[in-house]
Amino acid sequence: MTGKIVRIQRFSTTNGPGLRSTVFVKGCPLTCHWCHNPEMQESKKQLMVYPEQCKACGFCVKTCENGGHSFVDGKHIVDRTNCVLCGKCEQMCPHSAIELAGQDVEASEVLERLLRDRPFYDSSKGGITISGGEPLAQFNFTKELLQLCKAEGLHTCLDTSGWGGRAAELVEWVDLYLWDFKESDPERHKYYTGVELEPILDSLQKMNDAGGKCLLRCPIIPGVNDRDEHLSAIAELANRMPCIQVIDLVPYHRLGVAKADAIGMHQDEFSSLTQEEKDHFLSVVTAKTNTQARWI
Amino acid sequence: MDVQKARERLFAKDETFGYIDRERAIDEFLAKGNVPENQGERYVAALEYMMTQLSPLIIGDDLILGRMAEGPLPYELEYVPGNGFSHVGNPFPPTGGRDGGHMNLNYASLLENGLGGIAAKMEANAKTDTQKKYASLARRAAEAVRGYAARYADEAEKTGRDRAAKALRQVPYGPAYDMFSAVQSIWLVQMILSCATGGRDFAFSRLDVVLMPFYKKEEEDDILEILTALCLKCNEIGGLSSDLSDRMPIPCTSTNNYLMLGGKGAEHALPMSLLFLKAAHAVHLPQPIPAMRMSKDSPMEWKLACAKASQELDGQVAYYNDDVLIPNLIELGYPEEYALNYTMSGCNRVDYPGHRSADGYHNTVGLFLRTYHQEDVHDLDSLIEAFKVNMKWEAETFEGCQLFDPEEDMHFFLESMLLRGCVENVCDLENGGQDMQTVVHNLTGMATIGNSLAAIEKAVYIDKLLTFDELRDLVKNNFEGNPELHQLIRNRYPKYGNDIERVDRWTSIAANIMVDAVRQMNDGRYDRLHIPSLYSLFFHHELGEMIGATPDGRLAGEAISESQSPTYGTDKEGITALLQSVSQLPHNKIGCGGLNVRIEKKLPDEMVVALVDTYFALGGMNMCLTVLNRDTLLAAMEHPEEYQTLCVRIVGYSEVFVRLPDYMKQELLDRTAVAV
Ligand code: SF4
Ligand code: SF4
Repeated sequence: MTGKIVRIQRFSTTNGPGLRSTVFVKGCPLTCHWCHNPEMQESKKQLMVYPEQCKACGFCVKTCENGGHSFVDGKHIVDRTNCVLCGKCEQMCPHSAIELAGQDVEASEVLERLLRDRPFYDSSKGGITISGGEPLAQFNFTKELLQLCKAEGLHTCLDTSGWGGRAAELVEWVDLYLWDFKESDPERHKYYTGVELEPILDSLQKMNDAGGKCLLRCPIIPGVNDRDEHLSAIAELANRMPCIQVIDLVPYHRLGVAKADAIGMHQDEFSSLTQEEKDHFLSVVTAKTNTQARWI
Repeated sequence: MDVQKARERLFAKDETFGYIDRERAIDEFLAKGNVPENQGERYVAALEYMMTQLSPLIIGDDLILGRMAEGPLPYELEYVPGNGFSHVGNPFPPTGGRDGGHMNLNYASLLENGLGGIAAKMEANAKTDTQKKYASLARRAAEAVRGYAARYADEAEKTGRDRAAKALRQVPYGPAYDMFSAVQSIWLVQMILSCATGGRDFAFSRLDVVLMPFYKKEEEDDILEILTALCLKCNEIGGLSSDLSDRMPIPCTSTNNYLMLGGKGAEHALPMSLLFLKAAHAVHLPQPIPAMRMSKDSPMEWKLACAKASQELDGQVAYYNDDVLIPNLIELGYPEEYALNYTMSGCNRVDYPGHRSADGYHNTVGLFLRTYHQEDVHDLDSLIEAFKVNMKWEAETFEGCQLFDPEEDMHFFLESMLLRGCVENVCDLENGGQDMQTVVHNLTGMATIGNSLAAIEKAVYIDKLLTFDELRDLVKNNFEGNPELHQLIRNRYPKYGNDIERVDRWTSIAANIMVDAVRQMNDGRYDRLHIPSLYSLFFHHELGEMIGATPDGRLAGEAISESQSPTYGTDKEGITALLQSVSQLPHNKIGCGGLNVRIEKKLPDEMVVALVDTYFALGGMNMCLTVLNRDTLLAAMEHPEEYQTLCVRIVGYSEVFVRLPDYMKQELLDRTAVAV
């Protein structure tokens, strides 16, 4: 089964327990305004150009037969209109300023690459994580990869928004879900993520009933969901769902903006939380639940 | 003891400060006239004079005594590149003819016998006139140090330090009798050697093992304080002086104090190993520099303590793998006891307690290039064969082998009293007195050579872009005329360090050729043990400057790869992939060598243990772990080309640091500052 991924990050230390490798898949049906991996939203390949890295050597201009790159007043202009995503400019750029995001790979091939670091997973009680993008948007590929990993005895994490209603079907092969919970108000959820909240809660319930385990990962975005009611709702959710082992509050960072620029899109910037605000929100959660909660 | 106050005093020092007493004493000694011609006699006469002249200085709440008076020097010392600040007519020429210090002193013997006892042994062992003469110099040196200690004891009494006064009436001349007197004895000698007689970078060797006989569980608090005092002392001897010191920032690292802890044979000394690390955390300064020995059977408590130290202490904290190094050393020809007790003399020179090894650096990439451009080389196979031949010649004609000249006049260095063999043979290290002569061959630029071989294979044989000779001409011309191919080779060709089988194999072939060339010398033809090491210290810049372009796309004058590391900026797959690549090197054939690994943020200690354990289980020999800090990020902003691999890892996000716009880099910088 072929899937579309952006990269495999080895020595991954923030996506589940121990030392891991994380597969970032491409494509996500959600359109969160603060998305930190905007190049993983679209399911098709994309040309990324990082102005910060470009040293204006002109190799890409010479290489591209479709007028993809030019310089106007010393500024690198990327014209994607006729780009056929051939990757020649990426190959020719000496400064890694160009990246073609998205490669088609067989699940078995991904497994082979993941197994390279098996000794490190074993010694650290780590394993592999499938993240993205939304892995459930490539359900069959994700399922096959998880099954292959489990057959090898690897610990598996699935980083998902819960979209698509089928998360529970994978319980058998997922040791730990990293469940991204964005917003507890249905209207705001729809507005900021582009999808309905209800099916996601259903999906969580099903996963819970099927005996799955998860870390609830809640990005706290100033001006979007930094409200006491939202934090209280998170706590209540944890009280209702024994599958939630830990509540991870994830502070907003604006690093996604640079990657949005690189694919020629715009992303809004939000402000950052102060330490006092962080302390406050954590206390709102801990006041309402015994489930462990922390900022990560 | 007020550690904070002591730190403040350190940071208040001016980097122009020098050892005023010492320089004055040397001036006076030389001005008095009648300076003996013979090095040994001159050295001892100067030492005797100096030991009556250095002030027995005590400051603040000094616990362990012994410090040098520092202040602005009355004159400018002449700076001689490569030789530091030299003093005209200096009576203390550097040992080894190259750099002073860099040896592991036999402090176990000091504590057991005292300098007086060691001198007595020499007197007893002396048979020939030369030996008797030498023993008498040793006796005079021991008495001179005894006099200095006595002056300190008087001063200690005056300031109500009874414990120190009592100890200094006995040590370092006599044997130590408790933990305090032991540490006091070691420190006074270490300080005299590091500051007064002009060497630098002395290794304490396995002080946990050496001090263990004085350990008492119920006295742990007191011991911790004593060790903390010792750790502070190591940072207090950073002043400028003649001979081999160099001008360094404050707190100074102009002389390093290496400390080997833990490992096989130190199991019983675990409480002392742990207390040493605790003391190092308490002072949180660059000295001493701990190196940690580790084996798969080391207790978890030790592994976790090491992980904490490597993540929190300043500077490079190195790990060594006993399971690899001990058998290597035995195979190379170390007696078993020495192999079990191996230490490092300096940042990366394998040794054993009570020994000094010689070392030197081979310009191996230069040799590889000369071979590549040789007329009879016309394909990859002939290149490899010719490189093997040339490498053998290079190893056998190595100047770094020159340890001493037995024909020379009698030498005397105080260090020799603490070296194995010198006492038994009643002969100075500079006259070949040591029990074993070892030479460490540092082989440099292995990744540059490996990547070059891999690039030739790909361009000429796999992709068939051009012929062997065409590529060679292009390399000779510094890739001029074909910038496209140059960029392809340099930036797109797979490089060592990314867990790519083909390239790693070539790098391993290159490393094996270099290492084997040194090893084959241990076949009985030479009276010295030749130890291969894959290490470049900081010479990869200097060596790179001297040579032309290499087939891996490196341009003329650019640095070659460092130690066992990939070419800067080319390991893009993260640390686990890097460690997989490095573990392919012939670690089972070398005696030392370095790998610097930088992690992007502090990890749970358990994770660091897993990382080190796994690398060592894969066969790795050594690893220096540092956590990315503000300085690294600043350096990355300044030299982005060297930091192409620096990855920002935040929950669910990954991006290369240098790709971010400046304001975001700044933000990460600020975050890092907060975290430190
Ligand atoms: S090839 Fe790379 S560095 Fe050169 S102009 Fe294009 S993007 Fe910039
Ligand atoms: S990917 Fe191909 S078509 Fe698109 S800009 Fe690059 S070279 Fe041109």
